[in-house]
Amino acid sequence: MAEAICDILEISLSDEGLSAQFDIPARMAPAPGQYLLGCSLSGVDVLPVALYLTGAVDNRLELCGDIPAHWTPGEKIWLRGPAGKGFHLPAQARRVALIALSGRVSRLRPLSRQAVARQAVVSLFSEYLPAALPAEVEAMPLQALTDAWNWADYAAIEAESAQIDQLGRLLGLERPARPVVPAEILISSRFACAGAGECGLCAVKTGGRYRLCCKDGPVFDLYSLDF
Amino acid sequence: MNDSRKDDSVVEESSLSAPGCTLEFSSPWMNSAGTLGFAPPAQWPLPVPPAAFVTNPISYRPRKPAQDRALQTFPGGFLLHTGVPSPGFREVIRQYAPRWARSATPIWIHLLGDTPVHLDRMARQIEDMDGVTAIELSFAHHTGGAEILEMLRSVTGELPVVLAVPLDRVRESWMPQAAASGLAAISLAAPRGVVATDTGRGIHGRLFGPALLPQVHTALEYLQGCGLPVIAGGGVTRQFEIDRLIAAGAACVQLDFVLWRGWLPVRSD
Repeated sequence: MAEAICDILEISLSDEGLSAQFDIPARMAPAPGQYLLGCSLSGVDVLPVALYLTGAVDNRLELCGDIPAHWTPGEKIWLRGPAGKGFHLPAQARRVALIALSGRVSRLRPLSRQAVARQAVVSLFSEYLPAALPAEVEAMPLQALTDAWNWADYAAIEAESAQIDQLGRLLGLERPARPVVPAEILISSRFACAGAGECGLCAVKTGGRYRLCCKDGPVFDLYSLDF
Repeated sequence: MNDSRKDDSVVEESSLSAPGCTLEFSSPWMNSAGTLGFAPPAQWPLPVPPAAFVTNPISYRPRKPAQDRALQTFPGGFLLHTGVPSPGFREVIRQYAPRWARSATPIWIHLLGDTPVHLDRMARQIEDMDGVTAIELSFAHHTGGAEILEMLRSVTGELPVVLAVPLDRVRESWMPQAAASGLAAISLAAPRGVVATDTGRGIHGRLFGPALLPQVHTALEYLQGCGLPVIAGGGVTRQFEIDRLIAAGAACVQLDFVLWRGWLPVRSD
């Protein structure tokens, strides 16, 4: 895993929480859904936090996640990564559904840009609609998802592990889940060991066995999950 | 223990009773169980290799992750509640025994306290495995002294046995008897605690963090008279703290979450 010490260039506050801008070496840039581990060099952070790509400004990358409130511009952050498996937007996808079940739209934003750049029609389904959304992205309430589910030819979902059953009910994915729309899910979970210790904090059940979001995810094939 | 002459005499006898079960520490550090998985990593997180690699806790039957898993920080550390998941003894052996056999670093198998029958089965099978040089035993937080002593009897055999004792349990009345039961060493493990959420609900789990270090030194001091090597553990976040614990009498130091996050910076205070 590559590592670098980077200054926080800017901190922004949105409805979803804090995001931070860094000038990160290109080899460490996370793909949509992948994460970096970030830890303040001051020693205040007992554990590193997972940071997800949410945007890019000039050469700077904007990262979101559970950014500690004490992080300030100018602070040196020890970054490691990228880690985990990210989203795989199919090249042929033309109707893309983004579903932010826990409201963390920022973790799906880079994917929306990728899809728009490929001339795809993109719809976002969320209870919380962010202000900074590309103009090409149509925002829809979560309730509209059931009707729109068969419209999409690819879906990217963000949810907490506790919401997996809710998602299954919402999409009618009764066991065994049959692939209808190619779909991937980013499971937002807190990491303790980030895979080093297989501590099990971020475990999720897939195909009858437990896998770890930090190591085997955080992006999984939706239909591999046990609903 | 160092404040009880009676306990000291018991312990002295025990160290004579198990002359073959000695441990050697070629390095001042090793990982604590649960920090680096079930097999040694391709690359150690520190430049100096450890004295041993300690596996994640292994139970006889598979253990699922807890439903109410939690990570809760507090000033000076964090509480972790995972349910200590394990694929079960058979599966761990199937997956990892070949890697243990190839390991240049001695392997300590960490067994999670279970019924004496299960512990006996696991311990006897481990004794025949290449690369394995010791058994470390831990027990569930609700386990009483009599049960722990029974567990120790079950695992005792050809391999040295190390008992992992949470920092908050080193002074319990059964400890002198445990120390006298043929143990090769005592390792200090993460204590349990409760962190309250905003709603007042208490989250129970194991505690980690620099705030524990004074307790580690206290436990180490207390156990000095037990006649057994004591492996300090918990709360070590800066490299120099290893030297201080060794100077204070620890035979070795087990590192935990610092292997995940890296050393904390050294402050001038």
